[in-house]
Amino acid sequence: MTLWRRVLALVHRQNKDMEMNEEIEQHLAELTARNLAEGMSPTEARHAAHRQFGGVEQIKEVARAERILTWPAEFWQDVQYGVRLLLKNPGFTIVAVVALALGIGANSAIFSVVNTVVLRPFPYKNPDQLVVVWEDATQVGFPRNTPSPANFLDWRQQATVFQDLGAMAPRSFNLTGEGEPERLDGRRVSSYLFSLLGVEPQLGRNFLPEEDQPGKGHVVILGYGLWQRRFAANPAIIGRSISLNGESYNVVGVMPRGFELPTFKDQLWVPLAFDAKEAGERGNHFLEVVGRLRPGIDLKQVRTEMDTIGLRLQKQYPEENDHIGVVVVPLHEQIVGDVKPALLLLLGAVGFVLLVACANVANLLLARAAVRQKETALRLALGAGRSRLVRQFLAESLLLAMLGGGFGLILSVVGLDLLKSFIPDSIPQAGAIAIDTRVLIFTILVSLGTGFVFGLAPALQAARFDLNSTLKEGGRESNAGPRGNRLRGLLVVAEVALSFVLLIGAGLLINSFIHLRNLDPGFRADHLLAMKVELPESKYSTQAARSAFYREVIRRAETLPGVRSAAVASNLPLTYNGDSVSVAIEGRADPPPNQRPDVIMRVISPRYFETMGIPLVQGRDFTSADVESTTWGAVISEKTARYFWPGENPIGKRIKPGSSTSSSHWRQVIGVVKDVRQNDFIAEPKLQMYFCHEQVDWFPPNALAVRTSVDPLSLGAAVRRTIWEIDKDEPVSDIRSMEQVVSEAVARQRFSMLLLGIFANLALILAGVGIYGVMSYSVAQRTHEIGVRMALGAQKSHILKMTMREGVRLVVVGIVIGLAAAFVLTRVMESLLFGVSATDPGTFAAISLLLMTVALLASCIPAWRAMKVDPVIALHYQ
Amino acid sequence: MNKEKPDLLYGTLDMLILRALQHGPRHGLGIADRIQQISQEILRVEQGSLYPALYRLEAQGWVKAEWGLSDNNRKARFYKLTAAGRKQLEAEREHWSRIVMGINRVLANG
Repeated sequence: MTLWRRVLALVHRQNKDMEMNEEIEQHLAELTARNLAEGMSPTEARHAAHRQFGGVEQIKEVARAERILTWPAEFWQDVQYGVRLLLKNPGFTIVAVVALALGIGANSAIFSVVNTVVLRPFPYKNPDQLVVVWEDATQVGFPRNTPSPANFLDWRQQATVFQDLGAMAPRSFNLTGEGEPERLDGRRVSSYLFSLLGVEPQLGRNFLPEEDQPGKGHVVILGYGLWQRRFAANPAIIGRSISLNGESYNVVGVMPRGFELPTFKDQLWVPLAFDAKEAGERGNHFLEVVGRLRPGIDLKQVRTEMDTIGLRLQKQYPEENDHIGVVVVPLHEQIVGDVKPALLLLLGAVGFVLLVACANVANLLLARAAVRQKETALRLALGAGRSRLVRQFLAESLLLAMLGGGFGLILSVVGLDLLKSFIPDSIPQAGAIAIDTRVLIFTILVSLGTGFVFGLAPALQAARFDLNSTLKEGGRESNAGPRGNRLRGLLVVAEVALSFVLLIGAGLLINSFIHLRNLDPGFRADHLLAMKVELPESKYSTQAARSAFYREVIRRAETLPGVRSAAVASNLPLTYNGDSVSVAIEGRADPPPNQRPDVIMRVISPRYFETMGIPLVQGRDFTSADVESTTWGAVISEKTARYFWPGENPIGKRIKPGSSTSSSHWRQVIGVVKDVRQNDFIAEPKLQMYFCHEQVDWFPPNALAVRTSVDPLSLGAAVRRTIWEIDKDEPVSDIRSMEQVVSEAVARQRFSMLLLGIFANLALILAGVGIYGVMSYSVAQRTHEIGVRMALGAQKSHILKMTMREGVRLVVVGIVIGLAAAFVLTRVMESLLFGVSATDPGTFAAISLLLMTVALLASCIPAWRAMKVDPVIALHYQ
Repeated sequence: MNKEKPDLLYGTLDMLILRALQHGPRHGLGIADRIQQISQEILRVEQGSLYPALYRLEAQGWVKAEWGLSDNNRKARFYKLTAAGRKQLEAEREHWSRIVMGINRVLANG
């Protein structure tokens, strides 16, 4: 609405008012004249006319409201009045706006995360149609197992519910030739996979079907980031050749910015190009399969058909497909499924914070409304309609809420930057988190809703206001009566209960995290440097060449100052989730395939255990004497020893990967080491065994560990230089300390813990302020009463106790309600807890104590003030 | 407030005003007199409450108002039924008689 129209409306309104006044006056005059004519005295006639007419001012007010046109003008008036009031009470305004900004800001920030990670559709065409198809090998502990090529090809041929099924498999590449050598994560993909997802390269072209043939697959599509970083965003890269793993690949395309295959940080892609041998493999499971459903097909139909196909393949290949079914998971669930509970928990937590903030502001408004009683009474007496009063109170609340929302949005922008700096990488699309229109709309709605919630109580109280009793009290600034106090008390109880639930949630997560961090990883993470050093097969094709390279790397690294020892391994703990094999024990029959336990296999160099700080409990480590020509050895973990040889000495026993009929060598157990958390930090360690890298020709090491006497990261560059002195093309990546690795393994838990901790503290502070406010107000109200008591000889300590008792009562009720609520609500976070139960008595007790202490402190200050009341002044106080 | 007056059924005041204006323009007091007169003193309207209703009807476009002089030579606003107002009166009359019919049936057969 323009200003001009607003002015016109006001002028119009004034004319209308004058007209109405005149009309009513004339009506009254006419009635008075009639009464006079009936023989009444002039005074009597006038009074009778007023009686017949009714309350003049009320009727005017109602009549004004009937003219809908005046509503905007009235609303504008309310807003102006509200602004004046807020400016008049800067202290009140600042406290209220800060509380609201914190509550709304936290909500906007967390909602932006949920919005991007959970709600926003993936950047593919019709993402709802996309599903991930796994082998269901629940029987051997893998409910979602990577399918084998032969099974995938059969599914693709037999299924009718899909538009198409595509596959991919991880592969890493050493990029050499231009600048520093670099190790890149990538994937082999079906040539039509990008079309299946509905994403076209931004530059160049997609793979061609014929490039999916063995030997024809030396073409590559680059990711946007890699193209920008390594090739200076040069469009002329299309058609050029680059060197990957020592072989030449022709660049045919560049994917658009922001494209990522779900959950992976891939930087480049090559065609899958199965050869005949690979295509026939049914027992080797390493693919990831994505399907696009035909339009109109629902999940149930897909599952029915895939179950049938799975059963058919089980019958057809009873050996390889024993107990292997098919499981179909929507892409969204696959990617977002395991972060959703934590995010929803956080969203719930910020909701609680906002409610606490609302209760706080409502309390402030109630206290202020009590002070404003005289004003309210005056307005009612002058004929203001109650609905009009309610509207005015609401307008003020909404004004406050919008102010809070505005500052909250600013807070959320700042907070989001902070939040993104420690959000774990494993959260999908974490980089894309931002404030978009949806977040803005959310913020506005939340602000408006907030305004209604905290504005309603004071507004309704104003509407119920008893005019007579207030006027009778002779204008003394009195309390709003027992009802007002009870309402304020209730709000404090609610604040305490809400904060209590939040604090319990945070306490449980902190407790879980402490448990997690106290887990023994099985190695000593301090002073330990880790890096990836993967040899390209084309360049180091023989075992001898690889061994020579790693021996030299270890020898030279150990001469560096600050280095205690160095070792290589196939994947350091907590960096990789695979390489499990089944094993055969000499002299025992192989159990049926689905009962063979998986053993994590690692290939290491001598002194690996010493370098990693993994204690040897029995036997010996590998030495430089353990080479191809001597006895083939194995070191096993304690748990493995107990599993296969309970109560026996495992040393000297023989074991080999695969089945007893496999062509692999028997290996003699030469040592036993402590269990290590290899794949998963949280789960109990699995069975593990180690072979010497000199005695394994089909499985090279790919990582270097260096035990240092100084800060491990300070040696990263020196170690890398040493490697490049041996081979200038050898990529060295992921240079990290093992402490960082461990810390990343619990990054998600830390993230939820930190955020919930922050929110719970926020709620605690708000609740503390709320209790303080109510107690101060109540003491101020009772100054007169306290003065009387003291004048009659009450002890100061008695006054202190009396005022404290009120605060303590509210807090205890709040805690009791919070206890009951927490008891129910914490069950939803059971899946996020580790080592503590959802109703951990220690946490519950500690939080009750904490909240009690804060509440006591908050009511202490006003109580102290009450004690200091001077009876003389208090008695004069009106 | 005085509770002895027979209260009007909620929502019926508008209809009564329209009916009072059916045979020509009247001012506020005139409308009140007319309603009492037609109802043979059974219904009594708090005169002030006519005005909010009149403004409502005016905002709806069912009545139009003009300043004029009363019988006693006083300034007064005279309200006149518009064409839309006439239609509305018919609609309300219809609606009303249906309600009355319904209520009567319930009372008779209850």
